[in-house]
Amino acid sequence: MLLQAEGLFKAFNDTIVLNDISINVECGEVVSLVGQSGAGKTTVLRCITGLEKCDRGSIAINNKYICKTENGITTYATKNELAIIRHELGMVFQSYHLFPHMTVLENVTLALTDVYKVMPTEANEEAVKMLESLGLGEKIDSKPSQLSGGQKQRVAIARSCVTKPKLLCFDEPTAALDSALVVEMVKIIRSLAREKGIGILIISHDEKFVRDVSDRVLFIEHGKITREMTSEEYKSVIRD
Amino acid sequence: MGYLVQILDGLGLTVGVFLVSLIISLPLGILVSCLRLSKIKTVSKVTEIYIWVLRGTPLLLQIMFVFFGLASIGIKFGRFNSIVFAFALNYSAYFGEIFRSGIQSIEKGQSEAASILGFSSIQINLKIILPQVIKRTLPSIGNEVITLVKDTSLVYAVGQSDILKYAKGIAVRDATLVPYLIAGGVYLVLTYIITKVFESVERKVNYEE
Repeated sequence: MLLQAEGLFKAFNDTIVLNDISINVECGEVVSLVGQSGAGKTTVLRCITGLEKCDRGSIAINNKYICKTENGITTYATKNELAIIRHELGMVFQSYHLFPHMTVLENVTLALTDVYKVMPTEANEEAVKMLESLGLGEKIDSKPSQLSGGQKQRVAIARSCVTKPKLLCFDEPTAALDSALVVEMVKIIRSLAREKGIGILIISHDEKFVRDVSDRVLFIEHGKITREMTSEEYKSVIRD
Repeated sequence: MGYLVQILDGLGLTVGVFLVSLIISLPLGILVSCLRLSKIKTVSKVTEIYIWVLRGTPLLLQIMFVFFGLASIGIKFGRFNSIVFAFALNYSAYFGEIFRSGIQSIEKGQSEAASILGFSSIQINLKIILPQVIKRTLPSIGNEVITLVKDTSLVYAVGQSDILKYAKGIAVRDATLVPYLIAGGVYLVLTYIITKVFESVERKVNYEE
């Protein structure tokens, strides 16, 4: 199992945000987590990526634990352990969070050269290949401010994928896209899962997008997973 | 012309105090902003008090305190060093607050995105945050730097002779206001050069957000 999250519990002050949440994702599988705003979707993603600490529960990516509860005591990965686990993890944020002072190419190569210590020429080659595969070959010298919403998102995907993560998380990937770009995004995500074997976890409230992209759909309400559907079951519920 | 040559005898001190104070206070300002934003409450609070004291009291008083006050308890820096010490501390408080507001204006998501990509805190601060903070704070830093040039005239308080002190001496001696006008002109030239330098740097680091 690529992602194994079990019994996640998280409260902010007296408000329970996650209540016994369990999610599994296999390599090459696309799993979507859907629910209303405030249901706890983003918090789940933030806990899985180590941006937030859950109060109880276990999260393991490729059998490496971000947190673990045993005998009522929750332990968390150290900074160094978390840094290693994050080599297997990528995240595409809703508002992309590209680095505005860098070009598209620099945005994509920076982690390769500075974190993974890849030689700059090799990093450039890798990044250009990745950007070209996402249709951004002509934009490598542009700054993020010169890109459309769809292009920014593809740069964010390239930036996350160039480090070859095993699990890629998407936070509301269609929130800023028009319908044509949503179709394109479905294709990109499906190919990342099928061709590269990346496990993908998406949070979204775009029903049609979720229907077209997912292998499995989980429903979250008030911090609890209330239902789970296969792609076929979900397709029978959500029609055009 | 004669007046100008005499007044320019003070230029070395003015420029010296300006440059040394700037070179010390800018990095010190970055440090102050980091301490002010520290998650350790005591550190943040102590830094807040440091900023309050240094921004809340006149720079002239601080120069006199460093030169006369500390000397009275046996801590002697010498005139130039006292001036630069007081200027550097005072301006570090202002720069610190400017950098703090710059750091806080950068969306938290960028640090989060960088940390998921595997960057360390130092890398995030140096490669992601600092370049953007510099760009965003340059206009405010430029204002402070221009003020610093003009504040150098406070060195008269500890008996140092800068442009203005020379101008004053000549004006009293010859009963004329011309030296003051010339001194004003020299300050304008200095601030013009600084303005142009900052404009050029702003153009270099400029990008749309």
